[in-house]
Amino acid sequence: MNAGGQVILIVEDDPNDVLLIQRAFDKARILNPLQTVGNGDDAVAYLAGEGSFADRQRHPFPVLVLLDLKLPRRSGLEVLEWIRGQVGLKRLPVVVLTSSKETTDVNQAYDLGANSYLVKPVGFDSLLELVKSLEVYWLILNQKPDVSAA
Amino acid sequence: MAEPVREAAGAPNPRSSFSGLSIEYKLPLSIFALILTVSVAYTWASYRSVKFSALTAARARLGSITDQLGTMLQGSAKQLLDSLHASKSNDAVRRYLTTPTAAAKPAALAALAGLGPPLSQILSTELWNAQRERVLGVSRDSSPRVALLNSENVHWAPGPDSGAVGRLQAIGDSLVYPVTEQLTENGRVLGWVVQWRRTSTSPQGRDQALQLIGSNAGLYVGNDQGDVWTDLLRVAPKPPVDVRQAQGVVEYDRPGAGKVLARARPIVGTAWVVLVEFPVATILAPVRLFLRRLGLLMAVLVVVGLGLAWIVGRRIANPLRQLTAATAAIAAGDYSTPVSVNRRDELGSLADSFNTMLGHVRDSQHALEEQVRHRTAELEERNEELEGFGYSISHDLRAPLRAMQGFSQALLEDAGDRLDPLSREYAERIVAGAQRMDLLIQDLLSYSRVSRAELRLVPVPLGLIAETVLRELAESLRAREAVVRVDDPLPVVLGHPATLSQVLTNLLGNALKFVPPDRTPALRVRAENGNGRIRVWVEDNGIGIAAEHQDRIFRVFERLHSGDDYPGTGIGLAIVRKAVERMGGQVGVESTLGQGSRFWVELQRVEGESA
Repeated sequence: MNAGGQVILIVEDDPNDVLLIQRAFDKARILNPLQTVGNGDDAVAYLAGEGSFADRQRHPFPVLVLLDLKLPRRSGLEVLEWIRGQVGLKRLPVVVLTSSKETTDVNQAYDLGANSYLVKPVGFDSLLELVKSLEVYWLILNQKPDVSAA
Repeated sequence: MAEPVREAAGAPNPRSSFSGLSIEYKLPLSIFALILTVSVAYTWASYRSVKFSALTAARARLGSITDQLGTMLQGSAKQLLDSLHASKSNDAVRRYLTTPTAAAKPAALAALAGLGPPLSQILSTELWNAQRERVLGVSRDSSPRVALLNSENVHWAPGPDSGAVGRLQAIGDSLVYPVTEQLTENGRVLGWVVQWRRTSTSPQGRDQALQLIGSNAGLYVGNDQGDVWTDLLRVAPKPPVDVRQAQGVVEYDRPGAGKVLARARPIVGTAWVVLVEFPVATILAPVRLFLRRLGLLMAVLVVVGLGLAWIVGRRIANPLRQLTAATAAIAAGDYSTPVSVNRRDELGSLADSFNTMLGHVRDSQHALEEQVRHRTAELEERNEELEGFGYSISHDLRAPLRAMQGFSQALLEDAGDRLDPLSREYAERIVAGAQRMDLLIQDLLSYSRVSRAELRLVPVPLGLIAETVLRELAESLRAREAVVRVDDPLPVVLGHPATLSQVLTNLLGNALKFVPPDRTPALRVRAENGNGRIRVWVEDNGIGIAAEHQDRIFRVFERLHSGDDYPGTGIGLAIVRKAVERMGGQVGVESTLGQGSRFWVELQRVEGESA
């Protein structure tokens, strides 16, 4: 795996979920480094390279964002909207990974430019499958656009 | 807004066309009928009473005229006799009667010839003896008529020294009558002088008399025997009734004169009867004139009444029409047009009340609409809250489940070899419990989504849905080695695609689940068309459902079996029922315990599609 620097940014407020996702990545033997932020504001700050995330050595720019919708402060949809409004970020692949199956959420997410919408499975095996397919599709098969930090 | 309710104002009631008529016509027609009835009744009654008075007056006049004429003619008869009185004292005549000798004859004849009125009226003068034998005769007329003179017509004087007028006798065109003078001596009858005279009324005299009587009257004189009648000029036909016997006025038909009122009266001292006839037509002529005028007056009255009633009817009907139109406008939701009726009567106050009511209705309508808007907003708010609640459940409740499930599994995977069998079972039970709870939450969310989501119904090809669903279920079907038969082609129905998929998924999943493990599931999907609806059947060869439970299975959380035998949340069929009802359909099941179930779903057909 080209573990070099292809960072995946996980925007997730639930530490349990973070832990489980990390474990799923480990189990799937995906070696991409994972960066985690716990709320919408931090996600924006990370992507903008501001504040405590200004150091791109420690917080490299991600190739994929896994975005939960229900977040403290700025919601996932707001984060998504912000990303799509940034000149340098609008092509960044964003996969919504949430527990909501609500049609309104799905539609809104796609309207705002989500590249994919996945529902968090309860079973760990399913999560593992999901993470595997994420890797296959977004990190290996998918041709990545040019994305640069603002 | 409610559909405007239009009473059939113009449409005639089939039971009675009059009751469906407009007041504009009904009122004039009623008044017309009233006036007409009153007019006809009044005219008829007036005509009857005027006719009765006219006839009564005519009868009275007839009586008095007949009496006067009788008296008058009685006087005339006396005059007729006067001319013979001379014979009483004529010696030549007396002598010849006592001693009828040839010598006395010339003198007696001369005396007889000199008696009476102008010669033209005299037919002959005769002398009769006490034995009533004709002894002498002087004829003025040479015609054979003299031979026909009938002595039976002679009125032999009833008393001494009194003459009498005898009966009329018709001889050819002429009418003759005898005038008799009795000659007596010392109370002994000597004989009679009988003079036969011709009637001698002039047409002018008769006309004068008739004019005096008036009323187009007819004047007749006849014998007391009733055999000969004259109108004073010539012989007249006998009246059809024996007038001599009648008391007072009689009524009969006189040929040529029509119906007449008649009265007869004997003339004292003669053998004559006077008869006066009044034609009824003449009596009733003024009555008829009265009737015509009254009729004309009534006709004018009816026309004027009709016109007035029509105007009044219009004045009543027009405001009512306005009110009806305004009511219809209100029913259609238009509160803007008040009724304008500038009157101060009942209709005016009705219009005023109506306008007041209109104002109230408009105000309360607005208030109601405002309230409805308010409530709707409130409800929408609540609904949003509820949706938020559902969202929270889906999001928040499942997060800890994921943790329970994920970490239990992590524990089993990462440290399984260090756990004793009991601890491993505990961990496995945590995983299973979490999975069950997740299913439950998902089903509850599905149920609530199906209950409140806005379902836009579109034509959906059932075949395509079935194909998709079977593909999704492929794995579980394969696991049970199930045989699924779909009767192609399935029709197009009116529904919501995603919801329909869910219905079919749940039904097939249910069918598969309730086939005992030792039996190969044989499922069948087919559709039938009837009553403008499409019934989709999902049939299985499973354990079946006892009749007493068939109603319960569609309710939320209703389960017939323990989770160990047939796992499930008890919501799947409730979702099916709710979803189908939301799409305007029905669900049901036919089943025999132990022999499988046949679930059906009835959906709306797409117009113009054939099954």
